Amino acid sequence: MTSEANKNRTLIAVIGDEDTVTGMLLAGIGSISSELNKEKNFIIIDSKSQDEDIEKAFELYTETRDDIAVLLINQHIAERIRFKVDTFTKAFPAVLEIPSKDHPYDPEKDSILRRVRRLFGE
Amino acid sequence: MSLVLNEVNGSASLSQDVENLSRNKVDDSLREESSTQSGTESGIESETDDLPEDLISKFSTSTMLHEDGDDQNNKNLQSYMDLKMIEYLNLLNKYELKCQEYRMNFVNGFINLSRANYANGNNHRRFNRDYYDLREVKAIKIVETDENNNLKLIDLLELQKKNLLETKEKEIAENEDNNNEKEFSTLRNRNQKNENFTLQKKSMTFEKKDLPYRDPINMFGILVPFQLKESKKFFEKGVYNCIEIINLKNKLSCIYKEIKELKKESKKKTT
Repeated sequence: MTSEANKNRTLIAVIGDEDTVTGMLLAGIGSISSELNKEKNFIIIDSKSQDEDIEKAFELYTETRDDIAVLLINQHIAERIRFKVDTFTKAFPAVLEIPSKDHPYDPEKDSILRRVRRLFGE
Repeated sequence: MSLVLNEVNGSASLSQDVENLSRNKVDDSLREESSTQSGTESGIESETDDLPEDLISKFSTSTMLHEDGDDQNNKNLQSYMDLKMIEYLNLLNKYELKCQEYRMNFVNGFINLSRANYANGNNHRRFNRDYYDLREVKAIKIVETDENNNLKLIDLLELQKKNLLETKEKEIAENEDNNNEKEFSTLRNRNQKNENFTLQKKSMTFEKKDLPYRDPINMFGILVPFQLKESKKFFEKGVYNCIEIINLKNKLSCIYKEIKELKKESKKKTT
């Protein structure tokens, strides 16, 4: 059942700033439909956006929608909802933090590298 | 004399027994050494490849966890844990390299997007959300999951182009066959319209309207700066790298869980 449900998950969603979303749309991941709650698979977060808006978008793409396989989120935006991102442990959709134009990638915040430190620090 | 001979024979048998015991001990130690050596050799081999199957069949996480505490089993557990660690480190190396690659692709994508905005400076319009076409559109890059939950990126636009080319080639081949049957004059008759040409034109326009997947760069206009096309290429590569990184992350998390279980078990056995 779960594998069949996962096969319906084909889209890549983006939560990012304007340039990141523009880049992802250029790459061809954008999908717009008239179905309720499945209008767009991308959201632009700017300086005026609140943390609640980001949380709502994250919940929409991870819990409400069942057609998202991958969620790409800018690292500096993920920092604002770090608790929600870290406590999300489901296999689908896969969440990946990506760099943005104004905020280069910080490997200190990578979950895999933090695990490695824990593993070899024991 | 007989007593001396008996004593000599007894001592000889004793010495033989001692020799046999020492030989057995040496054999055991040699066996242990060979097992550890074979473990390390296969670990070195698996730097580039997966673990060899014979070792996997010898050791398995379930047998390591559920067998009774014993010195030999503990050593086997430790060697299996070492193998898993080596596999984890190799995958981590690949993960690091992929991360560097995808970061560079994103950086180059952003740089070229900025250049395209600069090149478009005369129009005083940036390539941003004002250009987005918010009509109903399908994604041209989708993801497929297989049985092992590995993700694969599929480019539907490329598939569409391939299918179009194939159908056109078939049509051309069919037209050629039809033309070979008819006899054509080399002189052009202006009064008669070329029916074949009009039919082809109609079919072309019909196909273009009917196409479900469109190049997203077209929403920014037909004549776009070259830098925007370059930016698109880098972002496409970046998306492809993202999918590879997700697959690597899943494998790393599986091995991490196995190593944690093995560590707990080895701690229990030592205490």
